[in-house]
Amino acid sequence: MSLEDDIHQLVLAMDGVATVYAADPVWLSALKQLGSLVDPGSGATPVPFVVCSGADDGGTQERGPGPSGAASLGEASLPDAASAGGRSVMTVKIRIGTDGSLPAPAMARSVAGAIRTLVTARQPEVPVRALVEISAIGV
Amino acid sequence: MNPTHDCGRRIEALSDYLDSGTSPDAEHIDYCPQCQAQLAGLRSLSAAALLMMDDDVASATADDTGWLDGIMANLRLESRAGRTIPLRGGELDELSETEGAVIALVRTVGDSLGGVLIGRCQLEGDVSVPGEPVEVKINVSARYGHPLPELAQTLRDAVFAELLVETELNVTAVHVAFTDIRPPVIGNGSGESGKGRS
Repeated sequence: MSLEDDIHQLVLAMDGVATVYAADPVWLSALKQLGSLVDPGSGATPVPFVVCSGADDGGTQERGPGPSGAASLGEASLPDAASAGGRSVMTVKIRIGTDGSLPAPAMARSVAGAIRTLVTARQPEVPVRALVEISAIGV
Repeated sequence: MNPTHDCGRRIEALSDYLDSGTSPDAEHIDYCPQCQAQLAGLRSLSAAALLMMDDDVASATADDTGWLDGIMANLRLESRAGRTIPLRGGELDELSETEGAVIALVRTVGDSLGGVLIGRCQLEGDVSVPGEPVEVKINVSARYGHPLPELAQTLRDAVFAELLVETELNVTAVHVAFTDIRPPVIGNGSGESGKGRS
C-alpha cells in the first residue's frame, strides 16, 4: 500500500474518527479527472483521501494516489511548507469527521500526531507538516 | 484544501437521494462533508414534517410554511464549509475546523432538545483569529406549549457546553430568537421530546 493508503487506514481506525472525507474539493477532483481523460493510457483517477506533497518533489506538486500523475494538477504546496531549517518538508492533508466520543480539537491534534509518527517511521529525515481539517463534528 | 468552496450539489438532488437511497452521484455524496451536513438537516426536517402531517398541517395557511422555507434556505447556506476556524497544534501543523461543521453541531444540539427546530444560525466575530470574541446567533422555531424562557436557557446552556468541548472559540454569548411558533401536537405528541405545558 502507498503511504497515503496507510495514513488513510491509520486515521480511519482511530478512536473518535467517524470518517475520512475526500481530501480535495470537488473542483479539484474534476480537474484531476479531466487530467486523466486527457492522458490517453490512464484510467479514472481515484478519489484521494489523503494528499501528501513536498519532500520528494521539491514541494511544488502533490503526490496523489492515482496511476496517471494527474494529481499533480492539484493545489501547489504552500511555499512555507517547502522547507524547515533547510530540510524539505512533507505536507499531509486530510479532512475528517468526528463521532463525538472525543473533543474535536483533541482529535485534530491526535490525528496530526499519528500522521507524524507514521511518516517519521518511514522517512525519519523528513519533517512532517499535518494539515488536518475537521469537516464534521459528531455529537 | 479549499474550505470555503461549496460542492454545488442541489438540495433537490440530495432530497431524492434521501428518499430513494440511490443516486448516480452516490460516491460523491457519501464522502462529501457538505452533502452529509445537508442530508442531516434534511433528515431533521423530514422528522418535523412528519409531525406536522400528524397535525393535519395540510390545511395550514401559506404563512405556516414560511418557517419551512426559511429553514430550507438557511440549510443551503449554512451547510457550506464557511470560514476556517484554527485549532492549536504543533509548530508545523495547520489544524482547523470548518465554520459549517460548527454550525451543523449547533443545529444538531438544538434539534435534539425537543420542542425546537434551529433555523438560521450564525457565528458573529472573526472566527479565524484565536481568542477573538464570537457570538452565536440562533433563530428558533418552537412548538407551542413549551415555556420559551426555559427553552431559550436550555438551548443556550447546551450550545455553550458543546462549543466549549468541540471548539476553541471564545464564545461570549449565545443569542436565541424565537422566530416561529408551531402548532401544538394533537394527541400524545409522540416523536418529539421535551417538556410541554399541555
